[in-house]
Amino acid sequence: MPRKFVDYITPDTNSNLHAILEVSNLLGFSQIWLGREWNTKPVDLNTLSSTHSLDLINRLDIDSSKIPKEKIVQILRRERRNFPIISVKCFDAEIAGWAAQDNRIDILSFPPHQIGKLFTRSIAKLMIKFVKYLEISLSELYLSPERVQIPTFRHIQQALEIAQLKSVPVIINSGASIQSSLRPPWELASLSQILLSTKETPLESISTIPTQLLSRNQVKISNDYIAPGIFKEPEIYTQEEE
Amino acid sequence: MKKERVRYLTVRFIGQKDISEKDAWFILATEIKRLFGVTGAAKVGLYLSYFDPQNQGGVFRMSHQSVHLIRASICFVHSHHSQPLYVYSEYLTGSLKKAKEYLYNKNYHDRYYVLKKNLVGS
Repeated sequence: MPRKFVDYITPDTNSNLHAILEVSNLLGFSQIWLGREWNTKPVDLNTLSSTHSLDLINRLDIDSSKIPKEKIVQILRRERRNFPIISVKCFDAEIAGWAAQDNRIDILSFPPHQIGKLFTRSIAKLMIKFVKYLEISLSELYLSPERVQIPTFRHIQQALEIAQLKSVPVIINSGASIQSSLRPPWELASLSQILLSTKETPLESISTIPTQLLSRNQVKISNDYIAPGIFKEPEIYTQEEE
Repeated sequence: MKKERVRYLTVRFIGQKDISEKDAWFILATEIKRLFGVTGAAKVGLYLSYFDPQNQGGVFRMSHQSVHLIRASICFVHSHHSQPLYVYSEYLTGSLKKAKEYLYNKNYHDRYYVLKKNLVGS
């Protein structure tokens, strides 16, 4: 069975969304996560999915630099059942520590120029305990100017080293907002191989790890789910009873 | 000394202006040198084996242990002479003949033109 590659995009306007999806399909991705802010309306994915023959998933992105913590809690309470994936971008250690322990959050991401400082061993431990995923969007590395690239490279390397040491699952994607910032899956994997300095190409980070997270969460947001391990009993009607 | 195992990677260039064979090699070689330095670039052993200016595609030869270095360098290319340029790798193979075949493969060829339409607009 061919490998299923997953990418995450944050389109600016709806006008270029079709172009981004067409390019990502041609580059070899089969599943796309569409990042949405809490105050924007989620896109109707059924028609888009069939037009571009892609598996499209709405994802809620919460930027902790724009929204206070109290508001984030409110948004999480309201939107958890509406979005299969929720990610929080952490700009300080306090938010990172809190987000790592909240069960409604799935993915933690950090600004690439600060990730080395914010993603510490203690945060990694918490993320393992509460089953959280670390996300690294590589477009912020390869599209940044040269003087920014060097410190960003170092920060991402440090974070990946900690993630590897503590076995935190890492999701790698482009995080593109326009079609020209998309890259094919093998190129993203090769770049992460350099960042990780391993002999094997980490294809799992762009294929199996994100799909695992999605399938886990799709069970969670189903109507039959009550609590971890507890589901509603299916209603069975026989002809005799009727 | 053990004989070096080589790989051939087909690479496409999408830009507003067509690029020449010399430019194609220069773009990748400069990026590799910038990322990995002179010693790193020497280990890669990059050669441009074949280039088709009409289809804007080339076949690059490299050591089998440095394919990921080339692919990573391709990620960082986004402009040439202040003009936007999109570069992507298509197919990796062990023989030049097969790489050339894939460069002219209908599916890959069609994909290139649809990508060009979406990225450049023509």
